[in-house]
Amino acid sequence: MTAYTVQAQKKIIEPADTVRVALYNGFTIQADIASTVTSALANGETYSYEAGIQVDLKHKYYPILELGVAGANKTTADNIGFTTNAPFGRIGVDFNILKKKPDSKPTNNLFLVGLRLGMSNFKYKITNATISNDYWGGTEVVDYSSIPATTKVWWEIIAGVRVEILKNVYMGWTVRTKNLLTQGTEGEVAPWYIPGYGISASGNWGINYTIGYHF
Amino acid sequence: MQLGVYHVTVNTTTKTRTAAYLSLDSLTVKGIGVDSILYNNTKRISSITLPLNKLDTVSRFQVTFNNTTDTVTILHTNYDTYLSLECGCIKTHTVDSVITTNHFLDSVSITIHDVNTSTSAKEHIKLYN
Repeated sequence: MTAYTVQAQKKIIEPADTVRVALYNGFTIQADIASTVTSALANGETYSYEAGIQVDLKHKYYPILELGVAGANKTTADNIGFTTNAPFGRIGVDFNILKKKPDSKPTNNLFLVGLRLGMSNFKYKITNATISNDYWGGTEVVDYSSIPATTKVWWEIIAGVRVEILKNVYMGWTVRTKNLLTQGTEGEVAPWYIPGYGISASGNWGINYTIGYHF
Repeated sequence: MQLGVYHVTVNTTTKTRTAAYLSLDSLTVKGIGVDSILYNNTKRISSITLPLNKLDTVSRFQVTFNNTTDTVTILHTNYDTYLSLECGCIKTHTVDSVITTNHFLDSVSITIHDVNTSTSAKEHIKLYN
């Protein structure tokens, strides 16, 4: 008897739950605040500015394009200089994994996980690398000022939250792990910093704090 | 760059030649044109490490084996090798040829031409007495 009632209730709820969701539900333009703050704290040694555009498909899939400009102007303790400045881009998709409870109020808040493919084509310079000829005497200064432009590609796993703080205004954060796909070759004059990726290492991570407007 | 000092003995019955490390009673080495001495009357030594000139393609050493002096001239090519922004740049070398005077030394052979971080612990040149 009890089992029959539950089954009956399910049948009633089902049509209400499967409200047809439109494929396209507008897009959000968002700017990153975290990278601006970190750039200011890094005192010009490294800097990065980025913004993105994200499309809402079925309130479930969120394809995203992120574009930015980043660079470095670093001098080491040994006075070796590294400079670069270039645009970068990332393309990917986020999935909203926030399950709507049947009894809760409808919300536009999102809990996102996603993937990105990042790329930057950039030129860089390494200057004032000093070689000292310890025993024989003398020094030589090596400059790598005409390294041809290089392309670095990396992938990212991201997780983030978006909260609608005012109508159509969203704030949120994203954390990301980054892994280079294009590894350097032995003997190359490798870049210290990759725009959009950060300080060059096999693995890296980043944080964004975004503010966006939904159209 | 490492050099080993060898002595060749000939076995008269089998007519085979065997080279073995020669332990020197005294060895003094300095770069020609440099005041600083690399090895100063060092006892019981058969292997030496010498710095190649990073800014020239010729490195010349005055080597005194016991009481006999020879000049060892090494002709080499230098390459800039970038390590990282933190470690900077180093020079690596390729030994092209070695010329010696023959007061104490009989002959010379190059076993490893490349002088870099991966060969730094190996012997590059054999000097024969």
